[in-house]
Amino acid sequence: MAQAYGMTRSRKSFFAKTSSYMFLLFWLFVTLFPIFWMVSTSFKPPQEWFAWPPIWIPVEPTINNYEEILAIGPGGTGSENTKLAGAQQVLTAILPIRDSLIVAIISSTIAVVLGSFLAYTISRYQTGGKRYPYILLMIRMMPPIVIAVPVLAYFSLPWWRGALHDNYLGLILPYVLITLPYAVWLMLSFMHEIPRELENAARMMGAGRILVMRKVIIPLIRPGLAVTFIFTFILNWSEFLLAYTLAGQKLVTVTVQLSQYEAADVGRLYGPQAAFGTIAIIPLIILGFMIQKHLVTGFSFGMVRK
Amino acid sequence: MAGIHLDNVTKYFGKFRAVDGLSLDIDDGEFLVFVGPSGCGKTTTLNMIAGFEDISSGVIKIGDVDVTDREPGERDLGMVFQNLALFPHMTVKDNIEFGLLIKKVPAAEVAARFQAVVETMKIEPLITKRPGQLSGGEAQRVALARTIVNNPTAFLMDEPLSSLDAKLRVEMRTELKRLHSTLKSTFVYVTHDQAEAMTMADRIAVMDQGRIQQVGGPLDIYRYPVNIFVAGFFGVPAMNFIEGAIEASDGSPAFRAKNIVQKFNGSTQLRAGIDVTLGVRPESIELVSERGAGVGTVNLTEPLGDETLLFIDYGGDGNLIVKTDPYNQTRPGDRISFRFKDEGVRLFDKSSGDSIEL
Repeated sequence: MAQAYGMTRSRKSFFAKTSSYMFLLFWLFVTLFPIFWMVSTSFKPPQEWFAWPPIWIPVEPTINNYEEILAIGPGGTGSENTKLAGAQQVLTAILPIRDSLIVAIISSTIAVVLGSFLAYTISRYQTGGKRYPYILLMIRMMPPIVIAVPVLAYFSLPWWRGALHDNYLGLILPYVLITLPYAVWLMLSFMHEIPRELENAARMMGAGRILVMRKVIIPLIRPGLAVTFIFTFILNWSEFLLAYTLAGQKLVTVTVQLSQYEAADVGRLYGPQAAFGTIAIIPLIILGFMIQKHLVTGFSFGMVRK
Repeated sequence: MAGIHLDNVTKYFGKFRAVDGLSLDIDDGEFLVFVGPSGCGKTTTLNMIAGFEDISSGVIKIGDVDVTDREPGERDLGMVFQNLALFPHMTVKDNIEFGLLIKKVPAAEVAARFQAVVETMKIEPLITKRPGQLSGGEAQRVALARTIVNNPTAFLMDEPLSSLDAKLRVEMRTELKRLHSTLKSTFVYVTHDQAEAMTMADRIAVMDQGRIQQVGGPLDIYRYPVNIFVAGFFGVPAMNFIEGAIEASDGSPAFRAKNIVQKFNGSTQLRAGIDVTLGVRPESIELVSERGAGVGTVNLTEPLGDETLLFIDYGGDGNLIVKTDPYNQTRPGDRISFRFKDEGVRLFDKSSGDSIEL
């Protein structure tokens, strides 16, 4: 009888395991397929973009799409290939990549610096009270779309004299705003790891607060600074809504540019769009892998009490 | 080198009074130990001396200098923390030299002082290692070295031995006493371990609920506790307490409780009718053949090798714990008589807990 019971149990767990793995495989497919399709399309010539039945692997692979968006070879007014697809001109990738890099790097740097200082005071002096970190996170849970139009209206007011509309500053400020809560949360977890006695020991030996930060705190949170910077960089790089609303004419980021490959004046340039998308996600994949382990630590600090 | 003077120091955390009107003069060169249970205010007091906690009211002086409002770095104190607080990202050498470099001590002097303290603490092989590579005892010596090298006026120590195993703790106690006699500095030491306090202190300040209960030498505190809290805190096993009252008996006052009678001959201070608690240490109870203070049945014996503990049911609340020699043959179930040695008996007022003079 015990044997029969054991068999039923192992049959149940076999079923449970198999169905979880099958679900995971299915979800993996759902998540990765668009990326596969995008990379595959980026190497297809125009005649294969809309083929039916779909062509999974390019029959005549080409790097022409990459050449066009990176403005290598005939570009600007479009090559023969893009004319074949009905395009008037080709949108290139270099300028949007530059603009995205500038906006993402500057706003991430500011968010990390401000977030670290705020995390320090919250950790050491309970600034804002016990619930303050949660309030910060709650504020961030509001979708940015709620503030997109009001911010646009505000930034367009005449007293700014255009200093905040469709340029770097006008995008960097909102990006700092929406990534600061994450920066604070991540840096809080690293700050909590540093025992207060280390600062007290340094103060005892005559170190003022700035020296304590420089010589004790910052060297110990350096990994945290890197992780937080990369995390906010990924968020800022991928952001579309605010970039589209608050900029988009003079300042065009990667995400906005990507969205414009299907338009009346350029036609449906799937190939160059796919090539641009492939290039755009490469930094995210690399950086994401670099910090994935630390993200688990960072976001679970509130759940595990020492 | 200087003494430390606390004058009516009080500390509030919100509405909670952690330290209540504490006044104490710590002599220059003294080894003073603050001892008490968790939450009694001893670490808060140490942190106020160090300057990590603001004082709600009162004055702290080091020597003749009022340091009440001074930053920790301006008080010329050295501190060893419970978790040692060695900088994990620096080598032992950098840790030790940290304070000297901040004070911009000339390089030649830094090297000389570093060398001297390394020899004193015998940590020469460790200087290129990082704290994570050190054993508990090695880290302890490095932490001491880092404090000593700055030549502070006084040393503050917050339970520095609590993270060590028992054997190492005993070794480090000896090391600290040796250091104290070599440096001849004022040491202010905080611990919850009464054995540590007894073995290391010149004087002990016993604290409870934010107040000093008693200050005195270790043996004075052990033999003549001023109240029931101090009496119960020191001694392993703890003092036996029996609740009862004083009665007149044949002209002399006597303590009477359930099944216990203890006569006090020649004492005129005791008044009949007061409710008291009698305290007697396990080593002050003798087994006798004729009836003494009481009789009882042995519940349990604990042979410890160097002594044997007997747990005796005498008919009152709980057991009486008696210390006997290691060759005692008493067994559980035996009926025995016991007497209290006169010099080992203490009386405490039942309501206030204060000691009553015999």
